[in-house]
Amino acid sequence: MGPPPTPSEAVTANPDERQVDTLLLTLDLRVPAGLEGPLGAHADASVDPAHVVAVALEVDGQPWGRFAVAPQAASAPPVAGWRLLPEPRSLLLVAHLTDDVALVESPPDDVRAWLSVLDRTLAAGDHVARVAEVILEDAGGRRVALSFSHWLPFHVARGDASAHVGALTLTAHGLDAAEVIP
Amino acid sequence: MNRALFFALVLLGLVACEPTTLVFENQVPGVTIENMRWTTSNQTYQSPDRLLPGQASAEIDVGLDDEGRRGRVTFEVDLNGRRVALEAEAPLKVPAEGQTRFVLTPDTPVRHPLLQEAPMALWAAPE
Repeated sequence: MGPPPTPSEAVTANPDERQVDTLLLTLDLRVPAGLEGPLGAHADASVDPAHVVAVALEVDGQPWGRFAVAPQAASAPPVAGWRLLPEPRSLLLVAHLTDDVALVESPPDDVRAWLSVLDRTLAAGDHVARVAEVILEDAGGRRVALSFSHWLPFHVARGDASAHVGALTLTAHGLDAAEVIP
Repeated sequence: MNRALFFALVLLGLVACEPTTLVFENQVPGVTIENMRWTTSNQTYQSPDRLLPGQASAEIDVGLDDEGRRGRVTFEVDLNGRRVALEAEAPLKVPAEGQTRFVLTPDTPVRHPLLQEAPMALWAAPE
């Protein structure tokens, strides 16, 4: 058994004070014209959000868990395995800060580990988010991972339970030659 | 002499009738523990107390039928308004007579009943 709590640790926060545990983000993956390969032969286009299967999000430089995306209806015939849309079409991502999938795969096994799960909230103030990785699945079931480095600042107001990170447009360079996930 | 023998017998009787009790204690810094329960095959004993770090609950009287039994310890951990219901990994045995103290520390092995028994229920989206 560890040492008893010190007086400075024996303080609990007001349970009525809400803290952000959900982030909202819209994501648009653009494919510019002129790229080498079959996709670049087309005009500017958006990757059909139906291809997105998972997104890894970082907040303030820390991984915020990978969250899956609900399946969406396909809306265009595939070109070289990818469905491209002439108009931007955003994907709404709802990122709960507690990663349920990770909890199921590897449940915490002591109280301390559970506290680290409970403590994953955002305090009021300024933060920055990054979509670190987007995993796409083409029409043939092949999965590829795209990495990005765009930071998106956002603000959390006191008393909020969720925060809108913003609308993010990412350019899917190298979609043809992206790393294939085995 | 008879009076001394009488008091000795009374004292012996009092010791012999020492109640069996259970106490929960929170030694986890920064969190509140609530809804502490000890559940045997007979019944559930619950503490109404809300324990801040360093606090212990009032004594809970344990019935004769449950003396010496093992039972599950469950509780809720509240951290800044976010909470989780957990169960101690090891069942707790409450011996007959005297006080048994369950001390919750950061290192106490625990599990989440839902994750253990029905993990697929938490899969919200296909992966």
